[in-house]
Amino acid sequence: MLATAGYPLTPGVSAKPIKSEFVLSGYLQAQYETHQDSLNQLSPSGTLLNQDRFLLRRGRVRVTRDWDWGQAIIELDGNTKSGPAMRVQKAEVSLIYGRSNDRDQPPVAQLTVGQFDIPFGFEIVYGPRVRWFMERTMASRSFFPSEPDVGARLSGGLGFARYSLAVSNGEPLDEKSGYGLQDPNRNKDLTGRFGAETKATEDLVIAGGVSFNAGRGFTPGSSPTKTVLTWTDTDNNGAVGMTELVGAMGAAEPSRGYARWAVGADAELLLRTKLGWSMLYAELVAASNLDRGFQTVNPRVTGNVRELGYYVALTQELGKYAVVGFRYDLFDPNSDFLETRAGKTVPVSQQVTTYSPLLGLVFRDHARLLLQWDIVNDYLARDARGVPADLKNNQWTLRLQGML
Amino acid sequence: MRCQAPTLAGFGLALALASILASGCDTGETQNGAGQEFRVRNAQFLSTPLPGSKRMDGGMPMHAADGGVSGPPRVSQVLSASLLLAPGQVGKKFNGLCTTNTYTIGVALDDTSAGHWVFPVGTPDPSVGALTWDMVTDFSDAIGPGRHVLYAVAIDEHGVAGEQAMVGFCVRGRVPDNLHACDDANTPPRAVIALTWDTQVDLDLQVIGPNGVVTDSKHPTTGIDDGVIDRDSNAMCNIDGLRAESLVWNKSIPHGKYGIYVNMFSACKLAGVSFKVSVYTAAKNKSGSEELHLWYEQAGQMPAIAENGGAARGLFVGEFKFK
Repeated sequence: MLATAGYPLTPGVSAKPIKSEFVLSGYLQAQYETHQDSLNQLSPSGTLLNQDRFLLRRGRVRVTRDWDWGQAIIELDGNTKSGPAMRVQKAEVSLIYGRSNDRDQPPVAQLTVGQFDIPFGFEIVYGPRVRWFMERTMASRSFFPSEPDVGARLSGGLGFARYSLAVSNGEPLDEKSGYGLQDPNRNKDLTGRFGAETKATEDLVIAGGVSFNAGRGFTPGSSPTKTVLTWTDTDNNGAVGMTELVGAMGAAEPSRGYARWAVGADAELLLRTKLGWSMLYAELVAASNLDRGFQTVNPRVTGNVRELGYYVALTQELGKYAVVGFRYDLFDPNSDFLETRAGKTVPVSQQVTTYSPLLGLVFRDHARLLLQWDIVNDYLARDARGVPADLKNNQWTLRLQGML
Repeated sequence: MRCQAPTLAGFGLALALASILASGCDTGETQNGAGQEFRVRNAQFLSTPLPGSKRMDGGMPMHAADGGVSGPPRVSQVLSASLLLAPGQVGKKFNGLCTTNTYTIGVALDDTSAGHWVFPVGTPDPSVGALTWDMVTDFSDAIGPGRHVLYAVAIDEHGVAGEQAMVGFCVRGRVPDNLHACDDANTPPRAVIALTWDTQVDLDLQVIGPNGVVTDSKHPTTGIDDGVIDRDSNAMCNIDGLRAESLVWNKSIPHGKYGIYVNMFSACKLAGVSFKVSVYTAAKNKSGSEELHLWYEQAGQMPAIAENGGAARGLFVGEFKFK
């Protein structure tokens, strides 16, 4: 019922009867987006500051092959987010026991190895093909910059109970550290979700779960350097002055690791009325040292960083051809951030909240035309007193999605 | 102005949307400032005039050294290792002191109505009973040579600004002029052949004089008079950011025909460069003082494939005959 309606709470499952041939599927998301903070300039690191642009956000092709006892998936993704790119989004092979005839019911046990979506919370596994909102919330994107990681996963369901437990490298795709899908330390991240999903009636579905993630981050060291003498012509006279010579001792810094973790809870409610499906869902995540996308943490310098994120989202179908939605999300990248103000150290909020209204035209199973406005409130700018203030960085996106 | 977040108790699509639209969020004056010709690192650019009153006689605000908290906040000291800047200089440091009721420092260059930068003050200096501040600034090479003024003002927690402190400094020209742009009393050189370029490559000026002697950064004197190459910019791809080399005659205008070449010593892993060669001589202006007068200008481009490590003569750009 849910999978057929486009709300697969348990995605990626093939139910009986098994099709023996290759199954080709895919979708394409092309969009125009405009950001208030776009500038026709480069950042100091050379990245483009203009974000008013046409963008191929996702062009994905997926090949699936099922057997009674297993499944193999390869999904490729092409996009122009940071220039033209083609990459493997998913590549997983599974051994499966106890398939169900119900498309909404996972098998009793599924052992998967390869590159798969990290089973944390609801947003990550609820894929962009079916999600109405353009992107995951900022908290989710900061903790897990992209959905897939490489590892092994055991998942399944029995009755209303759902479970998923994964061991992975702990470096998701698109991680800012540059180690995405690799592993700079021998420690493996443990991620899991235990939940429930029940159809109270044919028109009412209630689901929820609790999740956890535990692993170790990596702070790279530096190679040994020789002692050097540096001249900086601070007075611009072209002559060497004694105060302009600075000696720097040779140094080497070993790489170090740090503990990081997250716990979360999510709840989903689906209700079918004469208007169509309504979906209300919410998620709360508390974490430590896990920000890998927004303000990459380095506990070696800052000490342990506490993070918090949550969202509430509602989507409502309006007949067969329209949908509206609204999402409110909050991300606090550092609950203990301190700043010096007038010589005194004071706690400062770094919370980012986003309001995302959404309108859409829908041709079920064929195409979607979606318009989303993201109103972002943060503390990334400063006001006339030098106090952190909201940066003008709202955005809107018009996206056309076509299904293969 | 920040958007007002709807309370969870009153959370609803219509209510939240109405709240957001009605609050008129994000109408503040905050900007990135990446396009500004004068930039302060880790600071916020505001497109409003620098607040605070101007001192008619320039310099520091009155009662600068008391460090007290009575009255409006004050910048009591602005220091820098040098008040002479190179064109396009980056990483220029300024620091100073301000009164203990200061929340933030606002700074602007020259025309203070074009916007200003703000950044928080630093730690207290108990030895003088004041707060410290420091900033690292970048100057675009579009800021012309000559004298400029940096304005700094202290702002308290209520947004009240004190008197603006003023510090004069000078940006020297890309073409050597013996700091004539900074002080009219300085006599400009008699003649200059200048090479300037746009990307961080190691480009060299080569000049062949009437005596057949090649003058370049490896052989910096002309051999027949006092002409000398002033520097080897970006030498061996050690980037100095100046992107300028000049052959300068300080004593007398040379005579004869000079062939001008530009050589790509190394492209420094870049795709190429656009350059300009200019020839100046000292001449009197309408007010009777001397300044450099442009006689000849030729622009060109060179691809990375032209790099030769100094093994060959560069691209012939043109000839100039001094009379």
